[in-house]
Amino acid sequence: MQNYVALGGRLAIICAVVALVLGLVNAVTAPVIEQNRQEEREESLRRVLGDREVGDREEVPKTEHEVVRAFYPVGRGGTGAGSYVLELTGQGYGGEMRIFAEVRSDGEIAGAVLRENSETREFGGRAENPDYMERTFVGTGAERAVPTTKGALEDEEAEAVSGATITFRGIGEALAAGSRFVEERL
Amino acid sequence: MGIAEFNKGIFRENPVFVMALGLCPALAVSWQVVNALGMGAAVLFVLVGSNVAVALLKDFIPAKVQVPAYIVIIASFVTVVDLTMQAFLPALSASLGIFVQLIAVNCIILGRAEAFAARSTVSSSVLDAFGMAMGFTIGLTAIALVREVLGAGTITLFPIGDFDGTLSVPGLAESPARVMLLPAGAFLAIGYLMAGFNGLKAKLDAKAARRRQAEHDGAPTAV
Repeated sequence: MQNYVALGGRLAIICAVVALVLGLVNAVTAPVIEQNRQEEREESLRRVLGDREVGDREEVPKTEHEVVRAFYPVGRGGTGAGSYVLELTGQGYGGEMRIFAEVRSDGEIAGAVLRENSETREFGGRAENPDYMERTFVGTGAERAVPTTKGALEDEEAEAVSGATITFRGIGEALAAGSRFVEERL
Repeated sequence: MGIAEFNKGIFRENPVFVMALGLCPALAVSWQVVNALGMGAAVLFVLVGSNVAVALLKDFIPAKVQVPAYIVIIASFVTVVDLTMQAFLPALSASLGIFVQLIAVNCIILGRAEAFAARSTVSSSVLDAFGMAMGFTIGLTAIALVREVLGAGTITLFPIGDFDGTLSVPGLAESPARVMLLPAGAFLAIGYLMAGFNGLKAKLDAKAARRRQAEHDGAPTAV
């Protein structure tokens, strides 16, 4: 009995010291990490919207929606502009991808950027090229469905995504879910 | 103790090529040279930190709870590296992704804690950690060099000043063998490098054995 107390006690001491150290490290790094994320978000918004402004960021809990992490209403004060910027997550070849997309209230994708991702550079990395989103996804989502299979693409577009089918599908599915989210809930 | 503790990790007991430890991150992140260097630095920090902590605490940690205690110590060093990288090297952190956190379960580190630091002094544990981490970094960088040069025709390092961090290999950059960037390429690169490394080691071992034999044969006539 006493033995277990001694064992547990020593482990508890180690854990307490570790917790203290990690707490200190977190206190130093957390604000910097938050600031990095903030800057990254602002830069992504600029890339999607140019000079147009957005209203307040509203987070969407993971339990509520699998793909949409947050959204911003476009326009000063965030009303009346009829479109939203969504922060989306998609499953790519190298793990999770993060996508910022502007979606009109009828579900049409008006613009999108793929954030730095761990896709294989030579293949999926192409999707970071602004042209890629423009040619493949922008303008879909309302009259024409967001393409999620290569069959839904024109030949020339299909050529552009070849070799990176998983990346393409991941982005397509995320954008399609974002389009539905805006149509149904916003 | 001494320089041998350091040396053995680099060549004779190289974690990647000889002991085949830590292959999961070695395969996963080695598609870019900068990843290999970043991963190596992270492993160096965790390995030195945990080896020192384990060597210092070896009399304090009861044998029955050795493994949980080591894991707590290792995981905390990993968390320190992870948070620091996210805060100050966000690009590297993004490209290494989950493999930084996975250092916590990297067998090199728990292996060194159990097999070496728990029975050694602090100073030889530090040397051991440095040697093993250097060996890991060398192994990873060698794999990454092969994969990136053949697969993308580039060598990506850190951007410094005007240098954007990427060297281009003429000829290969235009038509790279892209398979080398994919998982299959990782296995190919590691397989050939491992074979070459072990071939070299066998040659050196044979040479050393011949020298010993020659000394041995020579001895009676000298008496």
